[in-house]
Amino acid sequence: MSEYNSRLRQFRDGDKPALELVNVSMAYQKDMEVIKDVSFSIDKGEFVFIVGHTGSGKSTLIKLLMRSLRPTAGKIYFNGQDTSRMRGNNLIKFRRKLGVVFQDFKLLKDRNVYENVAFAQRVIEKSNKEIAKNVPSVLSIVGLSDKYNANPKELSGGEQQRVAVARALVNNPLILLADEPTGNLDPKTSWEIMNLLDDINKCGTTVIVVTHSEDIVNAMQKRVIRMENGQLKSDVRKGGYDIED
Amino acid sequence: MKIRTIFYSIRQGFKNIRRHSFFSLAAVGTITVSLVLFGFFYFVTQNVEYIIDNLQSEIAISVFFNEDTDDEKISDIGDAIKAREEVMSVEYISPDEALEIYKKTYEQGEEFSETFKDFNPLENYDSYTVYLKDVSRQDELVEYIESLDGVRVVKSDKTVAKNFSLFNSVIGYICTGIIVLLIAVAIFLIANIISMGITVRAEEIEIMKNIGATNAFIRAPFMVEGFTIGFTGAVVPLLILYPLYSRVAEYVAGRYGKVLGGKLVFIPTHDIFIRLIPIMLGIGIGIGLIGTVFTLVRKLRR
Ligand SMILES: Nc1ncnc2c1ncn2[C@@H]1O[C@H](COP(=O)(O)OP(=O)(O)OP(=O)(O)O)[C@@H](O)[C@H]1O
Ligand SMILES: [Mg+2]
Repeated sequence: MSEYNSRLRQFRDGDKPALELVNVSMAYQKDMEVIKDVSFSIDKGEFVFIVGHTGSGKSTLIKLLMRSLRPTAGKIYFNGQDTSRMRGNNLIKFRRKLGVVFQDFKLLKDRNVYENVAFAQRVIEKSNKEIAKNVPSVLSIVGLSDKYNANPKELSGGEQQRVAVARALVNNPLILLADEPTGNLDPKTSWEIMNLLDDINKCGTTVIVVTHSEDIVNAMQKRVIRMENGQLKSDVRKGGYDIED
Repeated sequence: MKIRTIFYSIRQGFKNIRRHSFFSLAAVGTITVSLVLFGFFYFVTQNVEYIIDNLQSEIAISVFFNEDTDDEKISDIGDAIKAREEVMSVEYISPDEALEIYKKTYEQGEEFSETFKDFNPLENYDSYTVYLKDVSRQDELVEYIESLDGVRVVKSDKTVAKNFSLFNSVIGYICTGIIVLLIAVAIFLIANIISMGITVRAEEIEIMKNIGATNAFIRAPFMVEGFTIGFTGAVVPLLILYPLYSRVAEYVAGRYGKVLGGKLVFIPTHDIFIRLIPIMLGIGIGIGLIGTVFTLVRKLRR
């Protein structure tokens, strides 16, 4: 973890925002913008909620941030670099600095918990020795040390999401993006996952979470970005879910 | 790419094969059938060529002379024939030698030798036996020799070689057609298997991309899969053809080994397979990789 800390510190030393959107628009089909002229920036080390009604463009925003989609207009900067210009190796390097978590976990059903987490390390060609050190370490962070040999099918929703978080964490991301990570979980389990993300943030990782959980957003008093019909409705430093209307 | 990644890709590739083992078997089967056919085609054409080559030295032109052609003239004619580039060698056969050959060919005994002790009925039958480098140019040569002054008869036996060559090209067209068709089917099958694999693994590929996998890392398991199917499809027909060929070659040698002066034998098993193995592996692996790359390029563009 010490190597990770020094990477994080180095990242945070720069004065550029972690992510910055400048007049970003996005249309899946011609003339059907689902993101309309959105601008905001997220500093290194921040914890940010993105909220909004269904269809307001939150998932699209996450995909734009992880450069799974490219904006049809505007720019997105990661630490000052234009992400839409990234190609080949640069894009790969950028993706290796992100961790992503989804509502449906996206675990591989043909391998156990350990191999699901190890998968992220194999993809970036880590040695078996490093994998054998890093995987148990993140599994203990998410509290799943004793389930390493279980198949995802044998786990509860909350446990599966912990595996997904462990997989997102194992490559030491600078930014963690989570799209409704608690969307399929009951309130108690949701809290456990959110607290886990909060802990990760406290260690220095920038965390961006899309959620519909009003209670949690209200209770945690973090920055809240609200989307509405593809536009930025509000951006509150220490907000709750229901400031508008 | 690191060694451990290669091992990982190999494991994943084999997992893919197992996942749709039925289709993998179908692809291996198709390649096997096309390569067995190719093998037959190869054996036939190669052996026909080999036998023609062997017979080439047997198939010769005999040149006889007018009675009034003197020795000097005969020797000039010999030089002229020798100067032709399609000619391998020219052998002079004197009347005495001609009688000897006749005796041997028709198995005449002592009585015959006694009768013709002092009198050679073939007195004026000295001749040249001309061997060709290339039988297909026989007509050309015969025409030339006939145009020479002092030449009486030119005897040539060209039917054997002609028929062999024709046989070879007919077999060639038919087999090439069938093989090309089967190879196309095999490539199509492999392309489909890889395409199914990409669909089945769509989520995994998506995750890999998000994590920051290189293109090579994502594609390697599919390449392993295509390679393995193609390789297996080449090894199976070799295992079938080897014992088959060696048995047929043995049979032919036993049965026809003494006909035509021992010229009607097949290429030794070892000699033909040393050439066939790399060709078959090349075609098999080629089919596998072409089918795979084709699909990967079409489906995995970023
Ligand atoms: N792949 C796609 N192709 C076309 N339109 C899409 C696609 N994905 C999303 N959309 C449209 O874009 C708009 C925003 O969708 P998005 O998924 O970003 O909303 P969201 O805020 O994440 O909603 P939810 O809270 O339900 O997850 C919607 O109108 C949706 O229909
Ligand atoms: Mg969504």
